[in-house]
Amino acid sequence: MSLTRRDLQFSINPPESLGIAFPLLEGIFRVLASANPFIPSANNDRHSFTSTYFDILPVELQVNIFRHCSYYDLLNLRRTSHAFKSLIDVNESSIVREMVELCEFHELSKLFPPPKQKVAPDRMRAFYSLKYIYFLSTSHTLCSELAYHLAERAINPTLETFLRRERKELTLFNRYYVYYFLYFTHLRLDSARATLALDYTSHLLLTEPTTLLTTYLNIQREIITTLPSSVLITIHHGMTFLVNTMRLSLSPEPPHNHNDVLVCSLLRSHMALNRIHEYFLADSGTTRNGGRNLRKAFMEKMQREKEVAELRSPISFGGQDYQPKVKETWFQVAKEEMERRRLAGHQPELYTFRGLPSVRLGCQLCRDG
Amino acid sequence: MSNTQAPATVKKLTLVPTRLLTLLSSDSIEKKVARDVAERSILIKNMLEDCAEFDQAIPIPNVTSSVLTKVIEWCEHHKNDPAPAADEKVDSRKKSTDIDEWDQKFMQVDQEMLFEIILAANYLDIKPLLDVGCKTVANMIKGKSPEEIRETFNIQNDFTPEEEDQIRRENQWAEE
Repeated sequence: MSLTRRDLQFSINPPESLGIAFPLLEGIFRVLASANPFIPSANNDRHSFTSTYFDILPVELQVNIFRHCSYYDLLNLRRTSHAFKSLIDVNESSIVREMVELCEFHELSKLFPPPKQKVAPDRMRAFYSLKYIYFLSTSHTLCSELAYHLAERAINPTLETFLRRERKELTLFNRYYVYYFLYFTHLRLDSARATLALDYTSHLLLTEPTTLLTTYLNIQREIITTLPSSVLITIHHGMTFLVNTMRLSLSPEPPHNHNDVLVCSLLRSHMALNRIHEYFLADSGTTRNGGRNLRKAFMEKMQREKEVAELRSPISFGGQDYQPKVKETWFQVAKEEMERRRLAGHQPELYTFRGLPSVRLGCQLCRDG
Repeated sequence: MSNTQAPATVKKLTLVPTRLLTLLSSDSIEKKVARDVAERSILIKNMLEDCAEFDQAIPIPNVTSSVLTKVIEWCEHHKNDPAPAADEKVDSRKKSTDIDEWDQKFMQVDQEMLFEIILAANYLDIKPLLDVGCKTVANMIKGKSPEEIRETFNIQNDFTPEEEDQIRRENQWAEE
């Protein structure tokens, strides 16, 4: 099942999340501010001669050539001389816009549109930067890899038959949506945290232990209620499958929810899918050589994060006694919304792979349970 | 003498079967080319749209005869290509920078010619040729270090070591 244009017509107004949330945060969470990948650097150079045959081409043909390159190639080209640097800088947005149009992950740009830049006091224009396509490209790789790992675990074939296969063939579920949800939830949560911290410092006390949980659920509600039903169901199936796969892998013996605290912290961590992907990589038998080291590195990283999270817990999730639950990420709110829209009894999704058992993704609300 | 020759030339041109056209390069060299071949150029095709017969040389003022010869060679080889698919974007997305073998050989020319072909393809509106040309140049950039790119295009490095360091730092976000 692939994304169709119609599925992608919605979007949660991203300028609000990317453009406005960041200035709000600046100076509060330095980490977040420095993670803003999209602000272009100013450049006032106009035209420059490269003293190569590129000079005989009009700028639109130069752009036509550059759009076939990767962001990495253009960064290298930019390092060759002043003239090429300014040629690329001046035309950055038009080049990258075309690159996005051509690339295999252009669907992702519908879910994560580029940030807007003020071009006149009353006019905003989307700015396509090299950092933006870098973001799309790494996100695409992450989603594809993760979908691949999940497919691998779902089908559970012998390693040999599997390695011979094209990786692309084996991607499971509409892989971008889960990422989309976790990404924006986290972005907004951080923004809300910053606001709450501001309130806190200005003595509008933050004492309710459940405040942040409520905020967390509300943020999810804001996102989830705007999703079209088909997307809602797809993410629900994706999340169900993702969480169950993690549970099975962390606790192969029942009760499978034995390690739910780790599942929770993975789901809530900054860059949740990166973490989950690292986990699967570390846990996977396919990385025979580096497997053990990866696993060790991953566990150390998780331990550090857990400690940081515990330090922050009084202002994050309501104190030491707080026991996070898996359903607090996505499931609780999504179920409410699906019931509100009477979506119980929908079809499960079937994924078939040539010569391999097919995989059925569903949930408790699916037609046949 | 010259008086009698001029009408003769005109007469001769009208005798050429309507399927043959004459193109006149910027350096005033005439090239005979079959109409279906020349119509790979959308510019020429549109120009001929309303004319069943076209008995004058068509001036191509921006293209020299050596480049025009190359372009005609390409059109000749590709005259039977099917029209581009309806959803062209999806198609080109799949192929990325793959170039078919004949075209790769065809594009093995010096850089001046390569860039001139791109210009001519753009002017004559021959989109597939323009694409092949641009992809060929892109492939000359792809996967290369800055120094290798400089060698390929004969670019003079005018950065000071400090500036080079500066740019490398700017690019750090892309280092894996």
